[in-house]
Amino acid sequence: MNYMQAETILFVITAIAYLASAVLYILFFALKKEKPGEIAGYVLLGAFIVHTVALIVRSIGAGRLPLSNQYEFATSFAWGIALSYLFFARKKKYRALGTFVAPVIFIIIGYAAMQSREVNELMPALQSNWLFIHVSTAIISYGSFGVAFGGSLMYLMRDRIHETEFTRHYFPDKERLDVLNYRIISFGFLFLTLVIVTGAIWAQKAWGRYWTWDPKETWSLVTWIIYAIYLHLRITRGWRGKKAAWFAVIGFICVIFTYIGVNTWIPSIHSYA
Amino acid sequence: MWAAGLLFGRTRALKKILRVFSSMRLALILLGLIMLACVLGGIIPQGALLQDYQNVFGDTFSRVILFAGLDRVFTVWWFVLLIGLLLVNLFLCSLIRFPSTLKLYREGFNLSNCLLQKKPSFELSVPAGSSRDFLKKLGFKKPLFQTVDGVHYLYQSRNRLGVWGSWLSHLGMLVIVVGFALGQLLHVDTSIYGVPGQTKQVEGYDIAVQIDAFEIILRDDHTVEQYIADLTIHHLKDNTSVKGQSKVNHPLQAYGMSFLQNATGWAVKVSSFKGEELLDERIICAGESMELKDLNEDHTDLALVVHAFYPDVIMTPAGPRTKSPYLNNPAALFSLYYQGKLVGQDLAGMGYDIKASDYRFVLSSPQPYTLIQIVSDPSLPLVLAGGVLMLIGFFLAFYLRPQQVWVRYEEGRERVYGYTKKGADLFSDKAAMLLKEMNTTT
Repeated sequence: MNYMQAETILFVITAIAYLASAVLYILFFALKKEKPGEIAGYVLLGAFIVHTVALIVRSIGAGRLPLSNQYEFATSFAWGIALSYLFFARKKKYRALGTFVAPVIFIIIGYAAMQSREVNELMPALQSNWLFIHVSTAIISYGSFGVAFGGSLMYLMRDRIHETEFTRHYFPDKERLDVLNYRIISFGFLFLTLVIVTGAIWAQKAWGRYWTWDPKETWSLVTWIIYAIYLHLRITRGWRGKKAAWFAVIGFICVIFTYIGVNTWIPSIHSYA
Repeated sequence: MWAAGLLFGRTRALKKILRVFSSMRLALILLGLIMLACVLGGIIPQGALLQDYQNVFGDTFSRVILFAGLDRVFTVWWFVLLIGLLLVNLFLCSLIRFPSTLKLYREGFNLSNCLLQKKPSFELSVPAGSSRDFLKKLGFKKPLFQTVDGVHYLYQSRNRLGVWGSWLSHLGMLVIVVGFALGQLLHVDTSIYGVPGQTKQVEGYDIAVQIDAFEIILRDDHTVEQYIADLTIHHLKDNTSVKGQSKVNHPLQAYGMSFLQNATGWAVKVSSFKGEELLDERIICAGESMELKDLNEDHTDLALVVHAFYPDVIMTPAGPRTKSPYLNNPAALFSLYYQGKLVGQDLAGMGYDIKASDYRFVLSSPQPYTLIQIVSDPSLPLVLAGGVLMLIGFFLAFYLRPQQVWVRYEEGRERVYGYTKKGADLFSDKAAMLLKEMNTTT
């Protein structure tokens, strides 16, 4: 068995485990029973570990980090969301957040599964150390926004959830959830700024201009502005709660459009990514 | 009286204008409008022709696109105006906020201010004698003892630098926008192309680029691993030169300019004859032409255009294609024009005669040419500094939250207070957990 076959098996296990985790989280949420949530957490952690191994195996097989085509970025993006979730929602009281984040991870893994998994050699423009810095910061940033998206959906649904002993244990109250979303977005925003700065430095080296208003650059700027407005409104105008949650949802839709929409529908010099 | 009133009125009006132009409200409106413009510019293809827009958007909307300048959003006057207003807003905002931020940094952190605080982030009672230990565990290792109105306190602040976060990030953005605007005015972006052995002068500059060698390194699967151009850059005024290599992602730096390996294509040597007499011989890149003018009265304005080159040509239903990047079966697609009219179009192999009456063209010696992009932007360090400032600013704003703690000594107990403007819940959670831990261990 070669590396790529091993990666395929690990990827399938990962996808199934993320699906199982999403289903268990939904059961936990719907049935209001502790056990499925507890198991879902372990399954998600297991899926993340297998996913990490799959990425390492692909890196060894390809002789480079898996960050250079639609499949590789999608699987790394899902990994970034899982990592952010495990980090930000590590406390027990945030367990219900998994109900909203695990399905997002599974959908992105599903998107990855639909892409060509072929290992291509890097074109000259991608042969740069900046590829690792630029794309890995994007994974962390997008991953954080993915978790904030889940958190915001949960916030928007929070009013409809009947308060019980169970919800008090596993559902953060609205204020805490709001603050958690803010923290995650601040983190993602810092990294998105790093993505744009590192991308500009790389573009200057590879294309001779650090900013060309290419659709990918422009949409990254749109995403950045949305989150910048969110942070300003929150800090200076006290925009919290539902308004802030809707902003986070729109921001993540923009992230998805920047990643998938631009590559699919708009001609761009970034079209390999 | 009248003059004083006018002056007062003017000052008031000026203050009002300043307030509007430095306001957060204007900043948010501008950011929103710039975002909308970016969305339009990111969806509508930029720089296309009316027909292209008509094919996609229909006639009416295409005319709206052209009228509003949506075909060149990022250079149209109203977009430049928006950026200009943002620049003014950022400048005024940074200017106005500097004294207050400096004052806060210098004078804002002291016990007197804390004692006026009506809503501290937390307020806890710790067993007598344990407050120093509590503060130490909370990260405040060197609290100072102070007495106010006969009451004894311990006080310490930390992360004061964090107050600069927001200001620095705005300054960074201001520097980036200024740098970008300067770059638009001062940057150089031009190109030359040619084959090894040729020297081309960079138009408008005392710089010439000599192409010493050009190599395309292919992998086994015919994909390109790297394009490498060996160049000598001559400074025509100084009579000096710099030799070096330019690869994708590794431009050659010389005389304040970057020489980037940007693109490649195929070139062929075209020889034109009248009978056996050689009239002209030149290297022509795909897309270029060779014109023979005023040779005699009967045969003027004859031109050969080389449209495309196929190193290993095969015919497919969709037209000629290349099977591999290797020169196994080279051929060029050409058109022949006489007095501006198309008189023939075909594929020609190397060494074949392309005949036009007494004249003939012969293609030979195919070789790849390199396109070298020459860029320079004196504002680059400024933009980079702006980016770094912005990142430092965000880091300070998000992760260096200024915090203050003070302990009030009361009879038989010590009350610990904490205050932070940002992240109060985290701060109070940490203090509460610490207290719980201390209570458990004792």
